[in-house]
Amino acid sequence: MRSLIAAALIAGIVLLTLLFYAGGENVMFSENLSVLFIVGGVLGAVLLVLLGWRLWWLRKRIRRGVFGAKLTLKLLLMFSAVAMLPGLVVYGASVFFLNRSIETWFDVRVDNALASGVKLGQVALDDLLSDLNIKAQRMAIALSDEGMGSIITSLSTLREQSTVQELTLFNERGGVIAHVSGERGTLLPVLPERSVLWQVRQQQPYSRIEEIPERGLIMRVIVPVYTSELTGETRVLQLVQPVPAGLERDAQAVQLAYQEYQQIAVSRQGLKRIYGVALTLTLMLALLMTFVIAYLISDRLGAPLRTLARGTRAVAKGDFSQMQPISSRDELGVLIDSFNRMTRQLSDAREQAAQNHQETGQAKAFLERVLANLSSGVVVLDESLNVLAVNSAAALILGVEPSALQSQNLSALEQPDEALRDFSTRVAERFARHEEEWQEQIEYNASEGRQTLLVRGTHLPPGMERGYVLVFDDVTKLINAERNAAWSEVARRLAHEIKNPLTPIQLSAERIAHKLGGKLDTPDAEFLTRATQTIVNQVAAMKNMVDAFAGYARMPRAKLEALDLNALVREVLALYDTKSLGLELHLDAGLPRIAGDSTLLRQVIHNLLQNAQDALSEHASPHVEVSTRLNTHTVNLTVTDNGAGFPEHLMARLFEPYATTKAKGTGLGLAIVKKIVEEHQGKIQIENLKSGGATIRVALPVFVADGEST
Amino acid sequence: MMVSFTHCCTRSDAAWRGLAWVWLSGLLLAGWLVAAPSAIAADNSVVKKAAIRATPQGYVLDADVDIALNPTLENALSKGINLHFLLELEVTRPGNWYWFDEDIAEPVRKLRIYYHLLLRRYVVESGYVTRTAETLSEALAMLGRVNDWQVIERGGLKTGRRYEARLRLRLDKEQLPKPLAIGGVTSDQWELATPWHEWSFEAPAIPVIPPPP
Repeated sequence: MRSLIAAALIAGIVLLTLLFYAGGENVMFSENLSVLFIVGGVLGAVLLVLLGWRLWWLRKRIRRGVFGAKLTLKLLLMFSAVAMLPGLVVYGASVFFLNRSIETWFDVRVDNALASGVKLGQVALDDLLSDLNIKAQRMAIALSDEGMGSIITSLSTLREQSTVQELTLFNERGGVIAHVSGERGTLLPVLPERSVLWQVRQQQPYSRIEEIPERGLIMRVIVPVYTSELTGETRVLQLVQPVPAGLERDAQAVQLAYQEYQQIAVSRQGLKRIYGVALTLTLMLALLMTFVIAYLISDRLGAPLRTLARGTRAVAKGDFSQMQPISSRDELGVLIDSFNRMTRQLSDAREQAAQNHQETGQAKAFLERVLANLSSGVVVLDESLNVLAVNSAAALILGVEPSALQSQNLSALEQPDEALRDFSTRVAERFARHEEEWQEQIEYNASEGRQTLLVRGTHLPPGMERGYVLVFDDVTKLINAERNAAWSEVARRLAHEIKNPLTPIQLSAERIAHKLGGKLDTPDAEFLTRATQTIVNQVAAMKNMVDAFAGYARMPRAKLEALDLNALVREVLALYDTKSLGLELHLDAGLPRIAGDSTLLRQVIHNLLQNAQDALSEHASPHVEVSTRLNTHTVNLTVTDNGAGFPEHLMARLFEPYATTKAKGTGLGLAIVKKIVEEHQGKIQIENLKSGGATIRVALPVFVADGEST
Repeated sequence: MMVSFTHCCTRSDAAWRGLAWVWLSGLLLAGWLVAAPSAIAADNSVVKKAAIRATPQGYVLDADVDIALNPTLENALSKGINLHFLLELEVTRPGNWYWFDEDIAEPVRKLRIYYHLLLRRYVVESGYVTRTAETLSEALAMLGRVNDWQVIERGGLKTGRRYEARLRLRLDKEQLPKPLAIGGVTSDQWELATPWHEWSFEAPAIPVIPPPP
């Protein structure tokens, strides 16, 4: 593109130079003027096509909305207008003056003068010719009767008298009779044509000025010479006289000048046209070249803007890497430099922001990990008690899926189990009191049993989002452990304090019986025996009780090993009267082994069956169902009876010692069961059936091969 | 907003239209300059008859051309401007279907006519012969009559074979005054050419040179 334009421009300049040379009087170029014109026209067409192509391209760019294209067009139009105005003015003036100056060459007076000069020459020549004619007439008369003998002499005489250069006498057939000539005359006469001779013989004299290559202009007059003799032939006399040299030269000069003047006059229209075309061509080429150059300049001026636009677009797309080259040292260059600096700053700022964001994200992830690994449940609430965040421990403690809590309003938790609703209502109540910080122990009736939650509520510190943080721990086990420890201590103390006096009491009663047995009469002796017996029996019973307490307090640690629960159940049940209890067995055949201590578990089964037996002692149609079943990770042992069930008021404390409904018994049965089950990492659950009776469900962990029971 | 938008659009459209006009007119000017008007004006000059004869020296052409000058040329002639003519003959042997025509000869004869202002007679130069005439019509007749123009050497043609010839007379513009001679610029008033006169002939036998008496 650039090279094409450059070539066109160079060709244009060369052509214009040639045109100027041709405009001068240089013949070599004027020969080829038409070729120059054609080449100029072709070049003009090429430039036009070039310009048209660029314009079309520019228009397309403008249509497409390319940045800077409009500016290029504007600049192009401005430059073109600036170039066109002086060009057209100079062109108009040139054409005007050219026409004027060409016209001034042609003047009517010059024309007339030249024509008159020619006419003058003609008149002068006519005069000379008529002179010669008269001389010829005279000579013809003088020669009319001249005899053949003296004719040469007469001719010579006549020639000398009339100062005619050549005299020739012809006979009728054109033969030369005599020829005389002066010093400058020729030896051979100029022979007249046959037609001329014939014409002359018809009495029409021939008189004419002729141009003969070697001799220039000559006057030639041919006249008939009549004889008086009737038989004599008509001879013909020819006079040849050269036009005087001075006259001939001048006349020829005038003629030549006139001729040349006429030539120029005839071709002046052509001259005007040539100069006009040359001027037009020059103007067109100059203008087109100006346009093309204007286009290049406009394009160049628009280039920094395009660069900026490209940069802006790149920045808008988020590409800060592009640095725009600075091509000029002017204000536009400064602008691009500033733009580059701005881009760099933006890039730095964005990098910083990204780094900050990453750091924040890392901190958040860290916090989340900490929260997730926290055993305490954490719930973050906003001002209107919507749940913002829940950690996994919270969901685990509450026994629900985390999604069930996420983004819910605390007061609107309509969970199917009422426990969660009670819990959330209580929490909402506490938050409604606007305390800065509160702590409360809340009972939570989860599906897996009653839990005790220690809940702490706090307002988020000011300066952050307003809201609340709820932190809670499942303290059920802690409380149970404390209670168990307390009971163990009580049992140990009781056993110790009570057991000590029992032996002296028993011994004393036996000594009384021994000492007084022989001394009393029969009725008294019987009374004594009965009384001491009662004391001994009661003491023994009391001893048993105390031993039981001691046993409870000093429960041996379970030695866990693989155990077939079904076999153990069968072994224990063999000791019971199946019929009187209405015992029914539902043992799962595909039961895996469990991790358990057979001695302790045997006691569990005993205690449970004892309980059922006690509950059914006065029942008309007793029924006890013992079943084992595999759950996902646990094996369930269920004992169900159709007795009266447990009284509601005891339900919460069933597993505490001395919580009993029985008239006799230590009330340690279920407490021991619970303790053993907990030793096995299992769970126990008691439930009153609606149809009457109660179900006790014990879940024990499945044995894991490497010995680690879960 | 809408109004200004439309306004801007029409303005830019007008600018485009203007540019297109300038461009188109330039294109037309260039086209006019390039395509030089070379149309030959129809004039009444015509080759009336032409024939090739055999002479002992070779083949000669006899022709009669009717020359009619247009007013521009006549006026120029009356003012003493020389007019040069070219009489162009082309003799070819027609080829057959597989070969081109064979060019035999393309002789050109230069003719000149001018009005001698001092003699007040028309001067006609044809070959080496110069003749004068009183009137223009005589002069033109003289100019158009060609006798015994030796065009082909002896043996240039094969006797009995058929040849084609064409002849025309045209004004030699190269010899016109310089500003008129530049083609493409002058008007077609300075043009004269007869159409090609074409005929075919059988090459006549060369007559035997009669013994000198």
